[in-house]
Amino acid sequence: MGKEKGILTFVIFIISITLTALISIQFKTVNENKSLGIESMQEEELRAQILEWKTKYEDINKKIESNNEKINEYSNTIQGNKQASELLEKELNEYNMLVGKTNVTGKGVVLTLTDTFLTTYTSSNLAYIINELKYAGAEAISINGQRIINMTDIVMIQTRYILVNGQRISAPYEIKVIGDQNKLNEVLTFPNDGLIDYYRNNDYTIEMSLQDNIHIPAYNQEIELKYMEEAK
Amino acid sequence: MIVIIAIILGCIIGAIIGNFAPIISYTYSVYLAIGIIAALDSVFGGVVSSLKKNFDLGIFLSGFFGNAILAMLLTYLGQRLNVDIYLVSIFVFVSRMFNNLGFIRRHYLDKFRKKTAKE
Repeated sequence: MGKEKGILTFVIFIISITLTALISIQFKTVNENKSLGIESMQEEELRAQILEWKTKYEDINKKIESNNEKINEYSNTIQGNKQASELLEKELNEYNMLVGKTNVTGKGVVLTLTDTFLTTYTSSNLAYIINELKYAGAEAISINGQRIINMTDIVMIQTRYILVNGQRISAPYEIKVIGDQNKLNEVLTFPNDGLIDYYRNNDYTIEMSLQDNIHIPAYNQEIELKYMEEAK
Repeated sequence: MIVIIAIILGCIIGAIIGNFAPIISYTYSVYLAIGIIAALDSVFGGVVSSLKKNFDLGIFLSGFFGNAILAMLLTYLGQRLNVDIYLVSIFVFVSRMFNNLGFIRRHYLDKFRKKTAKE
């Protein structure tokens, strides 16, 4: 009987410990959550709110994604446009250079032609020299600051004045050429038949120097096309 | 007498343990509450049975833990099914607690009356 009563007392002891511990834990939990103000809301309500916020969040995320995609697309288009316009600009610049509307600089040769007592250069000499230079690979040519373009005229008036582009020039003539230095040098200084030797053999004075930094000015007049138009 | 000392001591130790124990998540506090109600019901049941002189330790212990666990399981089931079954368990436990309390009250009232009648 004594042993049984001991066990009973022990069990009651343990049970009262458990019960009071649980009750005080519960009290603490409830108190804690009361201060958060959440307990006034039903759990279902809270769940619904969470769900709502989650869907809103997802929607917004999706919108952000699609907006980002659009931005990417637009920037790609802008890039493409930029590239196209850059290409066009580059082409335009090239054509301008080719036509002679821009100042250009580069490696090449400078020819200096001086009239002497015995010999004077005529317009046909200059035209011949320029033709020869073009054959030798010249990309840009000027005579005394007059740019030679495809419309350039070199004429002599009354065997006294030489007009280039309608502007009068006079000796000494300085011909600047931009092009492949090696080829120019080779063609011009070809023994006997080359331009330099040909003129020297005929008592003309002609000097040639290779220069690395030649400036050739732009064609200084308007190029007008009045009668020509593109054929279709 | 020794039983009363054990109960008081147990309550004090339990309160201290509970004070230092971590709080549980609010989601699960409803299970704990149900468990506490079930345990209290068993305690009152035990008191009544001891007054009736047919107290059995096995029945008491199994009722104490079994009812608590069953009540928690039912609560869980209710949450899964979206039905507040825990309200029903509370109703049952609390009404049983009132019954038992009524029995205890009548028992001691009778004892008190017999005592006064004798004098």
